[in-house]
Amino acid sequence: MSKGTRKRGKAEGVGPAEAPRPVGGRGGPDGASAKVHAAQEHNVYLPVTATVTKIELEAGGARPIRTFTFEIDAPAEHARFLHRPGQFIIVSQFGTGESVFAISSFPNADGVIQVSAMKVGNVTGKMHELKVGDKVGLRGPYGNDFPVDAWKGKDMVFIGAGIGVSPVRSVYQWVLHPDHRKDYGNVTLIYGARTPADLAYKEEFAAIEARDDVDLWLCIDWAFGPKGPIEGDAQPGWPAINMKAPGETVVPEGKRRFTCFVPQLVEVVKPSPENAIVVTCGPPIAIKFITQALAKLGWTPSQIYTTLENRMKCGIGKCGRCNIGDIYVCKHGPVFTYEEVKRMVNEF
Amino acid sequence: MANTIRKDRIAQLVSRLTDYDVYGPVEEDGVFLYRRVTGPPPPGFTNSRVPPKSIFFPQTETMMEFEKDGTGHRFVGAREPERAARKILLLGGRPCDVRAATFLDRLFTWDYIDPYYVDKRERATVISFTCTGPMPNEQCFCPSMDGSPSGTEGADMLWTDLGDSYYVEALTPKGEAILSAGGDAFGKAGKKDAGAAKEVKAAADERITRRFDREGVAAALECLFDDPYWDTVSEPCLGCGICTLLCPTCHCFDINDVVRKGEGRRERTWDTCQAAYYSLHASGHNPRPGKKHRQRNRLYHKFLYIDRNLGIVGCVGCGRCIANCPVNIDIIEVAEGTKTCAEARREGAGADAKGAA
Amino acid sequence: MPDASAKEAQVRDIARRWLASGEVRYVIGYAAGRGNVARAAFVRRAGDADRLIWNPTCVNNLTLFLREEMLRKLAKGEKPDPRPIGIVVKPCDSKTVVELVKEHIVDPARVRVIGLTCEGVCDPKKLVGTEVGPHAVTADTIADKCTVCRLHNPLMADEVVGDEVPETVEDDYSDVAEIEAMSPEERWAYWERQLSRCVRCYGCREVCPLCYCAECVFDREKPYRWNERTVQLPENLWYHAVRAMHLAGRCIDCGECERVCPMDIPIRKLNRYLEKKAKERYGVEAGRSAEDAPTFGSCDVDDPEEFIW
Repeated sequence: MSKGTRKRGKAEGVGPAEAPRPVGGRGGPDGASAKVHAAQEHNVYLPVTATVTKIELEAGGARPIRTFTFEIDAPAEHARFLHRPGQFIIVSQFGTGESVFAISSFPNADGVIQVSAMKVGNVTGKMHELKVGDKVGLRGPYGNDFPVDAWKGKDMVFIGAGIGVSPVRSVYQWVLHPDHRKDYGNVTLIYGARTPADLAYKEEFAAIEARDDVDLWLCIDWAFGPKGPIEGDAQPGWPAINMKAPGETVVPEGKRRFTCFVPQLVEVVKPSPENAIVVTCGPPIAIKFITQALAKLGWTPSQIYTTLENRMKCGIGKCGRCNIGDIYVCKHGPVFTYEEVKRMVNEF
Repeated sequence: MANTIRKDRIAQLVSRLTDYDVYGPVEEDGVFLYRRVTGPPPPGFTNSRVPPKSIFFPQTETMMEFEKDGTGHRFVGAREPERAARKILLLGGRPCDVRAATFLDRLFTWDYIDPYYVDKRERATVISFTCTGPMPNEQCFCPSMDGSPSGTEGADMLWTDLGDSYYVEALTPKGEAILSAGGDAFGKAGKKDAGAAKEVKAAADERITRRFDREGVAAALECLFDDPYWDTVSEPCLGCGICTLLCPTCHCFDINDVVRKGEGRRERTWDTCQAAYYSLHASGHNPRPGKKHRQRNRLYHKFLYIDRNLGIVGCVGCGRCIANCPVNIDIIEVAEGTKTCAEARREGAGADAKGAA
Repeated sequence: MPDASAKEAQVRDIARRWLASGEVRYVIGYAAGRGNVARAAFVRRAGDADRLIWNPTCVNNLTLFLREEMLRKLAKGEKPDPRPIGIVVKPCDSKTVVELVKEHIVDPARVRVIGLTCEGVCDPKKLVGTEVGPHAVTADTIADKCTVCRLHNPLMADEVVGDEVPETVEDDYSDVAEIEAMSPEERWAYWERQLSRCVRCYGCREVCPLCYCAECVFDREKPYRWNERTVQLPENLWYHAVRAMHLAGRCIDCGECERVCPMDIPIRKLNRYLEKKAKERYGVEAGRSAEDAPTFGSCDVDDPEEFIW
């Protein structure tokens, strides 16, 4: 975490680690701003330069996804970029602008930051033209984080859909790290993409699949037409399931790959809500059905953590635009429990 | 103990303030604006069209400059522009606008320090002028927003027009510094001056007729988010940005890179929540797609959201958005309308509950 | 000539009749607003027709809302309503209806026009400080556009309210002469001063009934911006030049852009200059007949093209 440059979400009672907070009524400033001012020596808007050290194509198509690894040039700045799982970073393409990304890498003080970016806008368009050795600007990390410390002793379920797996990645990497793995119970990882080629972080998932302390489930949905599964079209090794009653699927011993959507796979896996936490990210429509599937299994909204995104410019609660009601996604989020999301005004 | 300054000595005072860049209202083609000045404010100046927030938070401001190397594609390094070190004097802020600066102070130091705003604000001394002459006008409602036409919140000095002279009250050490820098440009205020100033202030209070029920509106907004009321009130709205760009508390900004002839600057520019692109995602999705959503957001933000987050209401009652709205939308009328609407809803809900029972 | 209140009663009667019979979906008209200055009203029930007013503060060009409705995408599940929309227009506003019909934005079958004869309205900016009313059109309060207006009787009106007014003033573009007399340096200095004030609220664009691009070039972000968002003279100049050019030969001088400008930029001077040029060069006069060819949609071998050759 950046030292002294921001009030910690948790200290402020904003982070989701605490008991559910009412939407609104967080009270006014507590006079801490002056303290922060004294501690904040750097200009928050000024990015530091970083070098692109690795670019990996995760998925192709008209909107390709690439994972970029940046290394911050000045060693003195490395400590400031030690993030917590769930926080986001703002990447500058000088001359084009800035864009916000969830940090998908494991928190480190080596100045290494990874983000996965889909090519949708001007800045991401430029990013996809980057080559190893090119320079970018970075500022952050901003936002609150997943309360990984409060989750100690619990079973963990990670559910990712498409590129939405990238913010989840920073948490499962945390939990699966040799230093932390013993702090948590069973770990289940559920992830789906359109085609086998679209599955991100392939090498990493291969390594995870080899571990015996993680239950990894994968699905692809490419074999589905507008009206349901295309008969006999499932990829070899990825058997289709009964989409009408996914919960009744009989899972062959050791079988972990299916053709279905992520919410159905959740019903196949049937993760137990007892003393457990779900972290899920993905497109809003996927989140909606994933939470419905979880509800069927007895999960309560306060057990489900997700991240939200909105258009941002400053990332620090000044420029205005990212609010959903009185919640600033950049400051009070991006990590929210599903319970908090449900209480927000309908402005998504 | 208070002082006075004769109007014909103000130019002399300004000439003695060699450490300061002095800003004051000037009339340009019939519009009052804040510009660098050397003399007293024009007699009878009204609220400026663009509020003096532009002195601390200019509409367009360079945040940093960057350059590119020979190939034109690789970033070399960003540098902060050199900041001016001179002091700033705002000579002639209206109390509502000055009070708005205290709002911006909170916003721009909310957890993170905005160095551009804070830097200028810390260098600034602010002299408020008690509203006289054409002010307060028929749009003003500052008392309902905890302000006053002779309010001192955020000000270092308060000057009150006594005809040939101003009654001068120094409120902070920064204000005292102006007194000592001015030397004999200031005179001692007598009992008569104090009495006259009191009368001028009381007269200004009396001229404000518009009232705004802040608590009532905030309570109404709590239950009105999904109400068709917003369709009705936004119907004549153009979706222009006048109400927000001219607002002394509106602070939203956009950050853009501007490249000219190989030189690059990152500029921030005031933005408006009334524009569709304001909240538009890169994917094309817009969480606030219609003008009803955007007008609703503006009202909620001012009267509810900001209060919840910063403990201060985002409106000082200057009346600019009312006076300048091209389609005659009146924020008081719209906000007060929420109360009637919420009441009807509550009654309806009560009737439903009874019906169900 | 019937006075304002008699006209007002007639407007209400017509609106009431149309709404009661259900032949229009709603009527866009004027209602009383803050400071006794009219504002747009959308009347949906015959019983509400008495909200409508007519007085010298009815300056807004309401055709903007007509155009907005014509181009509106239907909401999810909404069935199209083929009934026309009723609208109250002044003669100048009726020119906008003509222009919108000419440009195929408004289908004449989908609009019912209540046209008022008019000899001038007030400029609300000139009423500041006297906002109690009732307001009257005097030499001090008349809107600038009305002093050069040559159309006092509405075009394309289904119902005309008021007796025919003889057309008197011949337009000599004397208001443009001042600009034309300036040297290029003086002109530059003049517009530099005026346009430096612009805050780019885009009020002039938003209020213009003829600015109806689905995505304005100044809002466009992808793949790149044509104009920076920064508010400085080069961008302001570019914005105003492009806005004016896009209205050349189309602008009917309803003056709304200048009226709404919070910085009092004399936008009409640009429009009027281009109006004059379009007339001189191509013999085009916007908003006179829906049968005319649109200025930019037609060409003639005799068109002056000296800037190309």
